[in-house]
Amino acid sequence: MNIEELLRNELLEVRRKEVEKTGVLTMLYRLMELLPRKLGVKQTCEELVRIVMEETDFENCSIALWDAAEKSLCFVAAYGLPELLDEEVDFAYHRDLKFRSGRDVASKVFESGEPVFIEDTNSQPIPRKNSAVVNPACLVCLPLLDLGILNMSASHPRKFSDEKQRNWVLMGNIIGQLISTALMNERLRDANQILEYEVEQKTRAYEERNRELTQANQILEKIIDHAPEGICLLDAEGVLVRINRSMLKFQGDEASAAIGASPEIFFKNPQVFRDLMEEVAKTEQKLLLDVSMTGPGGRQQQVDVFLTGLPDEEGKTRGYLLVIYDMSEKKAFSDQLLRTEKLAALGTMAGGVAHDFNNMLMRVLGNTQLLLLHVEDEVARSRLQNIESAVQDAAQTLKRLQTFAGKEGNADSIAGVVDVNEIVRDVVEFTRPRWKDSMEKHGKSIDLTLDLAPTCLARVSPSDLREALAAVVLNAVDAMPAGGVLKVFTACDDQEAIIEIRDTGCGMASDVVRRIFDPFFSTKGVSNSGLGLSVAWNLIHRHKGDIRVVSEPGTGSQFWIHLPKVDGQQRFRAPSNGPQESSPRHVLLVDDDEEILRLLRDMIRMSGHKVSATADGKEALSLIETEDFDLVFSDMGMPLVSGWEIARRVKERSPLVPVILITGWGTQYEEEDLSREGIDLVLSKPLSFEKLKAILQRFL
Amino acid sequence: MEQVSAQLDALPPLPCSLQRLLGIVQDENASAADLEHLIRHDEALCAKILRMANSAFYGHRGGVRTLSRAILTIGFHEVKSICLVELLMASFPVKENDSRREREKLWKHALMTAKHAAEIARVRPWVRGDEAYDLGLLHDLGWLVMLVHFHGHYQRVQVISAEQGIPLHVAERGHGLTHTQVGKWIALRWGLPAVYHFVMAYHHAPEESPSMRPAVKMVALGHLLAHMREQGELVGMDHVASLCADLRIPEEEWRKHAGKVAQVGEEVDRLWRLLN
Repeated sequence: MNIEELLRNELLEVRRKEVEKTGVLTMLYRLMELLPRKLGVKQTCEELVRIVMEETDFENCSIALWDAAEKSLCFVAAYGLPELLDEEVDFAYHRDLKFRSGRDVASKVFESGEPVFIEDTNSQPIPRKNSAVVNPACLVCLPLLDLGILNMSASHPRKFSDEKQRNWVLMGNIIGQLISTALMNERLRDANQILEYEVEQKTRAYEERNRELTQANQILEKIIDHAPEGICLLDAEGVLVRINRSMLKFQGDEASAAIGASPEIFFKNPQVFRDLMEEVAKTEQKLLLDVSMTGPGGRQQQVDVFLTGLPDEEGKTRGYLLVIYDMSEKKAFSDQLLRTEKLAALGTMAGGVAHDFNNMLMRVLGNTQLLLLHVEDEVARSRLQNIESAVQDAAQTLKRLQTFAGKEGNADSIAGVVDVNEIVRDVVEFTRPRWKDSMEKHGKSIDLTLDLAPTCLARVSPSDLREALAAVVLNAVDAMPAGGVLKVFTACDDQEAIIEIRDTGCGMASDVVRRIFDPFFSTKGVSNSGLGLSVAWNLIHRHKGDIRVVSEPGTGSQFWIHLPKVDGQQRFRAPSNGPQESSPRHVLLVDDDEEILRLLRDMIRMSGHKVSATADGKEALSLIETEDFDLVFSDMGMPLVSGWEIARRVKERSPLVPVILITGWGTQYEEEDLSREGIDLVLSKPLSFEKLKAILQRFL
Repeated sequence: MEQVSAQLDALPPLPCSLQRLLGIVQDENASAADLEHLIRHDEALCAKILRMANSAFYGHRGGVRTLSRAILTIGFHEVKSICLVELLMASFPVKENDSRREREKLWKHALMTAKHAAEIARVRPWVRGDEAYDLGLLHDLGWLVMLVHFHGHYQRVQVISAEQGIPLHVAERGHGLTHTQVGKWIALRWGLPAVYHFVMAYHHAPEESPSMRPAVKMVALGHLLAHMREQGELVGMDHVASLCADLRIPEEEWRKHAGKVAQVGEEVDRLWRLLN
């Protein structure tokens, strides 16, 4: 070898080394380029084997990493020359080939951490797997830190100089670092993702809970605001922190200014609340009934007050709940109920007394009138007439008492369609002596004005309405002893007809207003029965109407009579009773009270008629079968046989014979149409001679 | 008006001790120690408090030697209001004799209003009793400022009031600056809490107050009670009734307050003698 050749060889060697170094540097550069891309482990490995293949003259390259779960080295990336030349070719590598410990080169390298360089497998045979695809002639296997191994092989034997080997070991470390970084990146990304996911989950759950809380809070707020009771929340010091809408309605909007103050300011006697607070400190909660509060404008309010402590989990009182129940309406209702019950009880009692009384009065009246027919002596006659008129007066009072008592009467059947305006005019005329004549006699005057709706019909009994209205009008007149203005309005709407009676009289205090409809209650002294307005109340209520009053001392009173309305054109017609000449007829008279029977018999006889009288219902029935009568009078309530039965039998035999029921039960049937029951007329006791004569004239 | 606001702006700033005292007045948690500290630094005030504590009024002739004992004897709130009166009087000094008389009238009215307002608040605590007292004490501060700094204007209003037999606050209407305007301005300038603005500006027309009406009405009622002693026939009972209704004060409760007018008047007279 000459120098020239030596030099050339040397030069070639230098150039080869130069090329090799350039190759190593290029590869390093390409490897470094991977760093900022932050790829995953798998992708990094794929890129790595590709770079190795592209930058070296090896034909196959693969990376296997330790899989802790499999306890073996598993291929992560493998790349072969065919793939490099034509990407379409799918070279059938055993990518799922696994290296278990000990037996093969890869495992040895991994476990020892020492690289293996085999220049020729013929001289240095390697253990081979049956399934292996690649049969390398030379092989390099480098450990990649403690992560796995890098395999490189070619189909021809190669020389690996020491320098080359050093370079590859270095490269193996760099590749190992890159994979390690990728692994870290991946773990970091996973952790980040988990963290992100968890944060998102938590955020969502938090938002959800927040929304639920808000909703629950809103519902609570609504409940508090919509509760019909006044609700106040107090803090632990007993100071108002919240007032609900009902409380504001109850106490006026200004009450919201009380927030920050103690609720005792609303109590008429603030001490009541202070005592309540003290009590609740001991007993936790308490209900106080019938407490006076002062409302807006100084108005007094009757309330029930409930106070309870609001303890926290530890049982310490964090605040108080104060509930105010407005009792004014309830109280008004129970007052009304009480009054109705009282009136009903009184009515039943009065009705019973009146019935017995009526029978007695009847006897007195009948006997007196019969005596009058026989007595010639003037003095005795005038005495008897006195008795007669006293009995008539007593009967009148009784009748009103019975009107009041006849509450159970069937209102519908007596009611007809009446023109309310007509009744109003009637009553005004009828009471004229009281509000005009007698007032003028004393130099006073009452100015009465009517303001009537064009048509105003109601379903009510005309006589009941007349009496009720008269009672109210007379009450108004009595309230104006010094004169004044009396106004009567009528009005109609869809449901009812209303009569308003307004006076400018002395007015009434609230305790008087409360009792004004009670029977026997009177402010006019003993001269008054105290029945007028209670009867009016009863009459109107019997027709499903109502009578109301508003009054203040000194400002006069206002009464409203509410009546059920009718739309029909039909008008009530009172039965016509034109006078007729009567000739002697045969009359049947049935009454279980012998005395009354005798009286009536005498009266009818005196009118020139023939009378068959019996106190026995059975006998009466047989008489009806055997004899012909032109008129039948019967008592309504008798033992064994009732008046209704008698009427039915009479009508069965001869439908044209009029039947008149006489009742001690007052006027409740008087205007009722009982023709279906076979009754032509109902008369209430006591019967005066005059009345009896008129009836005989009418029916015979 | 511009001229007036220039004049108002020219008023002396709040003296330091008064400022500290107002801080104590506004601070719910202020203690007797704070007050004592304040008084200790003002010799005149210190002497006055000790003198009062040893007066026959409090029954300790010569027995009270320390300031803390004095505060205990007289009471924290009372000492606070005495200091307020003293410092305000020092801040708005008057010279002429008739001004002195006017000032006495104004202060007696303020003290009576304060006592009545506190008494009303004791039964109907829309606001705390001591707060009502302080509000009452300061409600007519506008007059005091006018007396000292707008003396001419004050005298004119006084003449109109005397000639026509009407209260001062009616007399000043339509004659420029009013004591409620001055009061509100002072409250703003001294940085007093909002409730003082409203009370000073609206105690003659509580309905117009944009907020805190119960406090304003309470002082208005105290003011009217004080007036009942001074010029009873001029108090409008309708006004009283509507204020009572709004504050939920029943008639018998009002009568109790009205029955104490003379007694409160005497107390204030005594207190005034002690203060001077």
